Amino acid sequence: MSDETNDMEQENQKFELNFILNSLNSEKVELNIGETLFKEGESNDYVFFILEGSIKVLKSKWVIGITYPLEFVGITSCLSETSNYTFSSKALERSIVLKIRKMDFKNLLMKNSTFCKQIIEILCARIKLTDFKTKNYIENTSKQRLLFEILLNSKKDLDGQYFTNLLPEDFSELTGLSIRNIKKQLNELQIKNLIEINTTGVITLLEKEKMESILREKR
Amino acid sequence: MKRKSIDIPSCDNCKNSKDFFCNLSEPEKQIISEKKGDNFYKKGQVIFYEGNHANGLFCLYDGKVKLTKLGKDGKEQIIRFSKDGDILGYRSLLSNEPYHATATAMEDSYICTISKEKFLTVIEDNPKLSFKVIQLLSKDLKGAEQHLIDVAQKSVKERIAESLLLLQTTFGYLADNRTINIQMSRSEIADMAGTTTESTIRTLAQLNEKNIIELNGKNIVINDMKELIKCSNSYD
Repeated sequence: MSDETNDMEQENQKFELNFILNSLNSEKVELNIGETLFKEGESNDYVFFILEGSIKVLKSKWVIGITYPLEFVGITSCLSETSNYTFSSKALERSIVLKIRKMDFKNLLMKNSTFCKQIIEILCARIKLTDFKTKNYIENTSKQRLLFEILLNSKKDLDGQYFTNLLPEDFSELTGLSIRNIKKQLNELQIKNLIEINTTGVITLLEKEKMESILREKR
Repeated sequence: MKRKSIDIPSCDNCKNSKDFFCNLSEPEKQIISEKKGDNFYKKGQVIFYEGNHANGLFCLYDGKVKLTKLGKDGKEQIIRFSKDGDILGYRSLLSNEPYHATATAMEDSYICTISKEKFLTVIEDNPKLSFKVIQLLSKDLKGAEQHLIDVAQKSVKERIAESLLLLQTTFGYLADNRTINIQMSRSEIADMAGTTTESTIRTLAQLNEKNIIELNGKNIVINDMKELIKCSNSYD
C-alpha cells in the first residue's frame, strides 16, 4: 500500500473513531510537555484517545512505547480484571486527549460492532509491534536498537521528509542505553550522513532506506 | 508424520467449559461444531508456520503448544504458550495477515480447526464474543509488554527465573504439587528467556545448587517458590 493511501485510510479511520467517541460524554483534556496523564497504581477509571501530540507509556522508569494520534492509552488496564493502571503515562509534547469513562468505553464495545472491529485492529497492531520490539532487543546491536526506535518514531513532514522530535533522553528511556551512548551513536549516524540534527534537536532522516537496511543486517 | 483422526466431542460437549466459545448459545455452538475439523498432532509436529496464509482458527482441545518466531540468525524465540481450551491463530485471522508465529505441539495434542469465514461470521454476529476477543487480545498485549520489559531490563538469571514462573503459571504442577507440568529442553528455556543455551544451563545449575529448583532430566521441580520469585525480580 502506498504512503498516500495509507495516510488517507488513517484519516478516514480517525474521523470515524472521533465521530463514535464524540457520541459519548467524553471530555477533552490538554496536557503540557511532561505532564502526567495517570500513574501506575491509580484507579483505572478512564481510557484515553489521543487527538494531538504524543504520550509515552512507562512501566517504572522504562518506556514501553510512545503513542500517537488515533491511538488509545489505558485499554489493557481497563479491560483487565485489575482496578488500577499497570503503567504510567506522560505527555511527550503538548497533547490533547479524549478522556472516556471506562464503563462508557465497555458499553460501546458491546453495542457497536464497527468500534469493536477498530479496537481489535488497534490491539492486533500493538501486539505485533511489541513482539517486534522484543525481537529487536534480543537480536540487535545497540546501534540497531537506536535505529529501530528512530525509524519507528519518525513521521513525515509536508515535504515528505521523515523526522523525529525525540531527544537523546527519550531514546535512552526507549532503548535502555545510556544518554552518553545515545549521543555517541547519533553523532556517528550524523557523520555517515544518515541523519541530520538541527539546533533544536530535531532529527531528520536523510537516508531512510539505508537505515532500514542496516537494521536488517545480522549482528 | 501422520495425523490420525480422533473422537473429539462437539463444541456443546467440550470439556474445556470455560473456553473461548463458552458464551455462545447452543445453536451457535452447533453451527461452529458442524464443520469443525479434529486433528491429532504428535509432539514436535508443526500446526502452522510463521508467514503462511492464515485460513483457520485452531482450538486446543488437549495438549500443549509453543508459539515461536524465527530470528535473523535462524534462532527460535518462544513468544507464547497455549494449553487446553486456548485458541491459536486468531490474531492473524482478525488482522487478515499471515500467521505471526510458528505453532508447534510440545506434547501429543488434539486440536479442532474452524474455517476463517465461520470464525469471522460468528464474531460479527455475537457482540459478547467480540468483547471476549478484545479481552483476549488485551491479555496478549499485556503479556507481550511484560516480555519486552523482561528482555530489555532483566538479567539472564532474572529472565530464566521469570520463565520458570511463567511455565508454572501457564501449565501448573504435576500431582506432586512441585514439578512443573511441562517438559522443556534447556535450549527451549533459552529460546524463551532470549539467551544462549550455555547461559541457561549455567543459571539452572546455580538455582539447583541453591536448592531453589531441582533438575530431574527435562522435569523442573520448584523447591522454593518465594526465592524463585525473588530471583525473577517480579513484584506484580
